[in-house]
Amino acid sequence: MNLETLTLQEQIDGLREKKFSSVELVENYISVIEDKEDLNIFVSNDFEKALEKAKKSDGSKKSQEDVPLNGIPMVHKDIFCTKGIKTSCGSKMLDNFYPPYSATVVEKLEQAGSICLGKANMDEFAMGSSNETSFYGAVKNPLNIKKTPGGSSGGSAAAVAANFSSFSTGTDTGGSIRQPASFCGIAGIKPTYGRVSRYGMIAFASSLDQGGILAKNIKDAAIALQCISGYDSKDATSIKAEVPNFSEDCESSEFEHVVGLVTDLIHSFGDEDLSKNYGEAIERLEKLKIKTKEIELPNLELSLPVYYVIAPAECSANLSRYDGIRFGYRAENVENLEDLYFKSRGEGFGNETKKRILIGTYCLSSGFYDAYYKKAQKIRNLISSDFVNAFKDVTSVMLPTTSGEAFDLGSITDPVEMYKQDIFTIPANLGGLPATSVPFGEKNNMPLGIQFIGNILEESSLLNISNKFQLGEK
Amino acid sequence: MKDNWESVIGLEIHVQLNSESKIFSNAPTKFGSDQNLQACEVDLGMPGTLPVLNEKAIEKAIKFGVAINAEIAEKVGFARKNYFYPDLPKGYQISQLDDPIVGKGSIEIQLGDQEIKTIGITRAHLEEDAGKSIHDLFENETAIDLNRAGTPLLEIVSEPDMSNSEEAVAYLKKIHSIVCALEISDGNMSQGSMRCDANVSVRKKGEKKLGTRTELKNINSFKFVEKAINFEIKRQISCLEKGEEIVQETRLYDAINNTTRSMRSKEEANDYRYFPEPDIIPIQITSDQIQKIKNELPELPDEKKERFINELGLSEYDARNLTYDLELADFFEKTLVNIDDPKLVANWILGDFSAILNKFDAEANNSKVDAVKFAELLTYLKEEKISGQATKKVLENIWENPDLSVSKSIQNLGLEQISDDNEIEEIIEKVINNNPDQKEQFLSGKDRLFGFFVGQVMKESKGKANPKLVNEILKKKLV
Amino acid sequence: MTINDKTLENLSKLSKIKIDDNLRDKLKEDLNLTMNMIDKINKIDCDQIEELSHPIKDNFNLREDVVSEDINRESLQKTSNKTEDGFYLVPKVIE
Repeated sequence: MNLETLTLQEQIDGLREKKFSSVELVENYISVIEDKEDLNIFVSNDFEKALEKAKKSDGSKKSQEDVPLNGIPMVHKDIFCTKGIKTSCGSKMLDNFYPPYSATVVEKLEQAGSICLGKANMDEFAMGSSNETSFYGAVKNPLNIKKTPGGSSGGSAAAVAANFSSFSTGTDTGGSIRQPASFCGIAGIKPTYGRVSRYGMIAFASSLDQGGILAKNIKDAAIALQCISGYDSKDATSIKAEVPNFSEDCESSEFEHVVGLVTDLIHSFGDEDLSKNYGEAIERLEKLKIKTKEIELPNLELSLPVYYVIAPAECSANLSRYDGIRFGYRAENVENLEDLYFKSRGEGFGNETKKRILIGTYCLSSGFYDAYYKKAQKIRNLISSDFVNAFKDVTSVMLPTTSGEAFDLGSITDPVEMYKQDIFTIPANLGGLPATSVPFGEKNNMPLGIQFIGNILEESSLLNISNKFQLGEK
Repeated sequence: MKDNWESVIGLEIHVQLNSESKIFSNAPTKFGSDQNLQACEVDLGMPGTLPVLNEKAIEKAIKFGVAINAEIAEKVGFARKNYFYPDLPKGYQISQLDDPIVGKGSIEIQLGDQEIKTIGITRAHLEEDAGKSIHDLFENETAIDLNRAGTPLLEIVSEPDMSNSEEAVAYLKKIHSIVCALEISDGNMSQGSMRCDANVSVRKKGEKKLGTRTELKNINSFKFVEKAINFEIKRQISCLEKGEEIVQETRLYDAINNTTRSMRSKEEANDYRYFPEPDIIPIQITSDQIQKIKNELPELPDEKKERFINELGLSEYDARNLTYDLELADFFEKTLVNIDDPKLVANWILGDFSAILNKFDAEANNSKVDAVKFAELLTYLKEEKISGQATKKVLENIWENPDLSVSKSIQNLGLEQISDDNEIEEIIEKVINNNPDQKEQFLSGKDRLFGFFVGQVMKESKGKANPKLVNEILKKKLV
Repeated sequence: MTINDKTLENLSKLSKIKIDDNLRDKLKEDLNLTMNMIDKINKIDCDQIEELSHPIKDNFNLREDVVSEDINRESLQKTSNKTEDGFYLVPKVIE
């Protein structure tokens, strides 16, 4: 039985109907994983523990309502703190970090009954779009091992694409769930800012980070998203809104959609393939008889520079706590306190992380704050307002997820070229808006993705349109 | 201070708020715990942890703002102040920059009989305290204790409205009495729950421009505030008179040598790279909230002072000094329950009672002589059963021997006052007869010698003679 | 070039990150490429616009003043390899 190819929904049904056991699921995954070690997807795993949990869940009498993901194996991005289990964030700095607490997302999924198979490799401190900045080496795209799976949730996306699990957790600060989902031909969702608790989710850029889900399809993503959503008193940016039934809503016929399009903007890039794929996506919407409307997002192109001021600025402060004193990498042979700081941070951080901290420090420094950080936050307001305006007329906005398909590992060395990967995904983070990526189209035998952006707290409508689009049926 | 110079002083006071838990985590804030037993993962800045604001910190800050008649911000946002130090776990302190919770306010001080002076308060804002670095515990290492990290602080910044160290101390005492009256802090300078930094500059009298200022740190008592400021003023004047420039810097006060010295490690001005704290959504404060706090405000020191003057008939001076220290004021009122003589009680509390507290390094609220006993003692005095001198002695005696009753003490010390006219007359006659020369001198005009006779009578009676009667009868006899 | 050796030195000091000599040049190059891209925002006039520091603005959250943690110092200090008697240790600082 190729249990590893089953979707999340199929696994839930199968376990409930006792077609197979959780132990069988886990054993299946373990053999797949061991077969594909060269993809370098995991930083760490504990198969013994997973089997133990699987045994327990097979014997459990709890109802499906209480434990909706009972016995379901899954993978966590190694950015989520898992109590007593190594949490590296893809960095040498945390290579020896075993947190004494778990992230809320981890606790919620545990309470839902799921079983963690391992911690997925990622770009160091979530900074990157190719999973090449990890201390543990690059992850390979399961569809073509010469290519990147995307980043920073590269390991999480590859895990689902390689059939290591039916879903995985990821984080998205500028596109780190959606872009790898697109590169690996799977679905991904970043919820509204504040929908999912950031407690225990190692911070990169606090006003942009959100935890989310990567899965084979939108329905699966909806099921898992439901389990990790909800107000958390340990996160002051958490939203108190009730969590709707995402999995029901994504299949409901009650939602009316008007999808906002930016055809002119896409054409202005002068990329034939990009325009073609976008055109075909519009055709699909038409076939599905979904209303569309051309809209303007006049400040969209400023998203990239704005993001590369704000994210590095926030990260430069968030990463100041890494000094080797209370946790993390501590340099040896230091002469004095200054030495301890300089060496621990100099040796513990990788190059991309260092770059971002330096850029961030620069943009916040005396004399530059107004011109860079303050200005970027103002333009952020403009970009966000563009969407507020758009949502007066439409229920979602459709954009490409990325401008191209997965590129070869090692092929991009110009940092700005790398940053441009996020051109279409960044705006949703700036505005705090929920967004999905749905596999659509192909280029050079690699998958492409289409992105839907929804209004604040409107994940249900967003999942609904994304699901319809993915299924290609009304 | 030399006549052609004047000084300009501003104080920055950090008050530790007395909430049960820390400002951004629910770890406890109790004083005196063993190292790092009160630092939770949020306080330690561990990866993925997040700050959540304590509602009591907001409440206590608003109370203070209302008490100093300041504007309370409608929107309270926080900011990250970035710098590296081992006792600052996150590598930044969560503080406030552009939207402090308390805006401009003021308080009044009065020195002696001088005019009431208004001291402006620029702002007061909330922030988290850092931990402690202990340098002398280990030979080659500095020890870090993060218990204090995350304790809520209210930083109160004054306008540079003070002109000398006395005014600075008066201001500090006033702030202290307010935060204690509001019960938002225990204001204990020696334990660090109230800390004071002083900004000091000097300029020629009449000069409008402010001189370069230095910031004085490490001052942990009212007394040292005065000394540190006085030393610094002298030092700056001396420098300027020599033609040297004042360096804008931070200086540490050295209490042992009574000097200030430059803090070498902070020579480079820090670029704190402030930016709005993304982990805390700005709090919105409603006017209803503020009104409720206004309505529930306890009696403030100035109000208490007015009440002591108007309802209890105390002098402005006595009322002011009693209300500087709320425990003293409290002790005063408790004493009044059992003896209805505010002026008498006030005199004794401000005088000998305070002296004894000082001598034995005690506070009014842990006095070895409770208010009931104190009232009893003063009643004996009021009824002229003991003299003033005797009261002093008995007070010290019952302080050192808490099991002794007032009456027993008087008995043991043999201090019952002699108020019998005949007895006193006898003693007076004896003294007059034993000092014929002085009698003659007095009678021929040396009025001063009256005091001599009074003294002799008191000596002869071992301090027990009722002074009032002695005076009366002596006057009659010395003619 | 907005970021030269002196600026880099200053940034290194502010962020307490040692920059290896062999990386210095590539780092400067990359940083300047990035700043070049960022400088696009200079042309935009937005004096009248307010900053957006929090994407979701109105849902502020407060915490009750209750002590709830049972702090386990041993467990928390397991992540550090330089503690003694419950203190964290750093090289001696002279103030």
